[in-house]
Amino acid sequence: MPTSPSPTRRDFIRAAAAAGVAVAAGGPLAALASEPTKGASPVTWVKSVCRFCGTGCGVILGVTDGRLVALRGDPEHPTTKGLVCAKALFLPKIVRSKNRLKKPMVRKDGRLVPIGWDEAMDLVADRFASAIQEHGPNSVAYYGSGQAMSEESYLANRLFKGGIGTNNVEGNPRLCMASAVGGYVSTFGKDEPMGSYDDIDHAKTFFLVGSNTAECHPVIFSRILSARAKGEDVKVIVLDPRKSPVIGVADLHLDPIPGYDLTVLHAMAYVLLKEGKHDKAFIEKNVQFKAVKDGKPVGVSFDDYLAFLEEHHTPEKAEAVSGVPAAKIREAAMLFAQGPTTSFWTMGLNQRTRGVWANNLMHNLHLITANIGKPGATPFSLTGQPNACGGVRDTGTLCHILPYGRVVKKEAHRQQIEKLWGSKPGTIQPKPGLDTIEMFKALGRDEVKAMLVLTTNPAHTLPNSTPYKDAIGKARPDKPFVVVLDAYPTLTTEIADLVLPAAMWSEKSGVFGMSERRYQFHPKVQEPPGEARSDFDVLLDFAGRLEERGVVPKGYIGGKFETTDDIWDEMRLASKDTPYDFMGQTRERLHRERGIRWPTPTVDHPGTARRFVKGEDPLLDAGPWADDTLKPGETSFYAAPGKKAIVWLRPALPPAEPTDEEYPYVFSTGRVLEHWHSGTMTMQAPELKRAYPGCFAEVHPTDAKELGVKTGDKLKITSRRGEIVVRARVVEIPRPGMVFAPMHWADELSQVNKVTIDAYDPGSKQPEFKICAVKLAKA
Amino acid sequence: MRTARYPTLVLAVLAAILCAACGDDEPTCVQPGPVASSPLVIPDAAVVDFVSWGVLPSEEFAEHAFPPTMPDKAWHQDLWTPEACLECHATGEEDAPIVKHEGMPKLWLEGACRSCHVIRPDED
Repeated sequence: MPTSPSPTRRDFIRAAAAAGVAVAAGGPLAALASEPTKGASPVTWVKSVCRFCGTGCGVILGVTDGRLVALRGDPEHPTTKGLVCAKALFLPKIVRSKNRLKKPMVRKDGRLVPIGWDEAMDLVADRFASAIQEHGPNSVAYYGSGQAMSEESYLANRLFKGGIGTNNVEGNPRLCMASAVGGYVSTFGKDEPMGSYDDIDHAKTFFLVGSNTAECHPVIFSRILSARAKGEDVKVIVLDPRKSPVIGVADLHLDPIPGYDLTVLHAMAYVLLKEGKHDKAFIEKNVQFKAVKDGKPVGVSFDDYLAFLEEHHTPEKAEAVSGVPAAKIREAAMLFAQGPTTSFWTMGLNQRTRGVWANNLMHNLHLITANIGKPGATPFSLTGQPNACGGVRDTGTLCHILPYGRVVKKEAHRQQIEKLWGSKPGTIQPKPGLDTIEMFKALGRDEVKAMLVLTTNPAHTLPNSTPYKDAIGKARPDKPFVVVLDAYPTLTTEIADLVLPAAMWSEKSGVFGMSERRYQFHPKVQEPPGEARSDFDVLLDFAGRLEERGVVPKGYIGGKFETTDDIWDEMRLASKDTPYDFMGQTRERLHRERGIRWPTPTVDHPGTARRFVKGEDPLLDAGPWADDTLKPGETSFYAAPGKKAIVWLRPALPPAEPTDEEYPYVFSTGRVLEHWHSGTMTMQAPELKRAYPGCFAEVHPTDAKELGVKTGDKLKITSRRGEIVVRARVVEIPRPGMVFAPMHWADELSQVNKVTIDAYDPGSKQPEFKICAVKLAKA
Repeated sequence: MRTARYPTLVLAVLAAILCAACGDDEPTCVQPGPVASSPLVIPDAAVVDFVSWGVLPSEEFAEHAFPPTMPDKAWHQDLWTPEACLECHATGEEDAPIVKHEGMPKLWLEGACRSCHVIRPDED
């Protein structure tokens, strides 16, 4: 019989319940349905894609009488193969929750009261138009989401940048993926992974870094389990200060002091070079070395790189800084070298003030060993939202970028997009707009006068959330106008000036683009509840009313598009002759196929499993990057300067807020399997809510003993910014000196982001959710 | 095997739209507002033949739509590999129900059981 060394979840939940933490009612649904109802209509099965994380699981929706009644994994899906997780399986309950927002609501005398759609949309248009007319286009802002459909994000980007003329266009992927983008762009020239989930089947070594894959990407974890089941020669290395559930399959675990892992990655590179495990021919042909001197990147040599590692990052030096034994670093490097190696990482690397550098160092390991562009060999940043990649990163719906790899700073890129969109030349501004943190700071200073928040919950998810909640909702003279479009009540809808009810994913049709560059169509299978409308419909309506008020040129959007199908062809055109080229992904193909991975330049191209590889990447066969000198299987990083990827010599700087005598513990946040982000969806399924009814904090037994804390005790976690009080869970999961809490609960005492820090990576502008200094006390 | 095609579904949806009774409990009855959302058009190509593995029609959610939850036993807490689960669920040890998953892909038995089966805390 397996046993658990940890306190049982029952112990914890009982303690939580005793403290008054709400436990959802409702039994397992298996008990609800016993016999099929006589005369019930048959179930129709419709191919779709999951609403949750960036894995992009293919699903089949069961529909009866216009209602979503079941969901199953799609066994014919080429990469997720029918696997799904509990969050997906409970989507029918989540979508049909009685808590769905059904009517527009406007704040009057401090309370939200119903308002008609027409009046609501006039109010939105009036407030935005008056702000633009009185204060200029940069007085308004859009804050979108990696959960909106690609067509919705593209339309919002088109409206704000090319219609209104502001680059104040952001989205919540800034909080989760921006450092991965920065890593891919600075190393390879363009964003997005070059490999795919196909590599899982071929890898002999998995390197999981800052990724609780088992809970946050359970289908990827299951694929890794399956790969291990096929042969004992498959090894798993984990680099993470927590012993998350992935430790259960790890052959080697490296647990650095949080924030001090960059030197471990450098030290692995050092071992690889010293042991001759690097690929000299590949490096010579495909890699260049760079460092930053006096604020500017400069080319350096291989010998400079080796000298840099030798001076700063031998395993022994790395051990002194990180706490990871040198012997383990050496062992990890040698396992990595065995390969082919697939690395997966997520927020543990990305949500850092050195997130871009951490991503660079992951790529360094793959580049020097040529563990890239071959089956089973790829550096792969997993994504947390269903459409952060396709919807926000690829469509350029962030303040500094334009669709499909273009940037606002480049005149040629602005001109290309202005021409495609029919914008007046010069409308798109050359200067990046406000990034997420700066945008909400500007809102708090009343410099942003009107903001549209779409399908996201910043009052819950922004770090150091208290001042940003005030920015959104605190009553004050001439308070900026904040309108929120969402499907469920959230901390943000609670304090917004206007709340518009949104359709959920199964109530509208569009495209999600997941982590492996696969674009997948999800059809509308049911009507939204009440008066809810799709984000796309609302954005079209909004654009039309701005055109009527003269702040967007007449006919710029109005009359051009009615459905998401209509705008798709323009998006395809925007991708033409870029490294993202998906001209071959017609709507008809997406209806029929289980998603297609770009580049897909022609309608007869099956999609690309590995970019930058001759014989696989069609852009090496025709078009601006065609190269007939390459042999099949050879690599060309054609998007990088000189077609050579960059190995960066990055310093291993500490986190923004190291621990000290007053705040001696490291606080880190994350997720559990049953819930997702701010919990607004998963808390709607009684089974999921009940599995984890309240927030908790993992404390190492050594620390718990010092604090006099037992499992179930109330624990006060205080940072320089705020405090929470949650139940302690004393377990050997976090490193000693570290405390971890999930982010899903909205009650006042459980909002972990009251504690986190809003310092961000200077390159990616992604905040350091994963590390801040706190003190702990039994409450 | 259950199959259906677009016209059938449209009729079903129309019937649902015409439903007069609408309470506040699940499932939410459909009442489009004054500005309708985009039309319901399920592409024929997206409708698939599917072996439904026991999912049967019902008036509420489909029967067997949701995976069974697990009782909150200590040994369920930290099991993340199928081998650990199958120690009991392949043999019936501790009266554990024998896992069947009949007709489902083999891969599903190689994955993490916890991915789908969430813990059901005791209600006492």
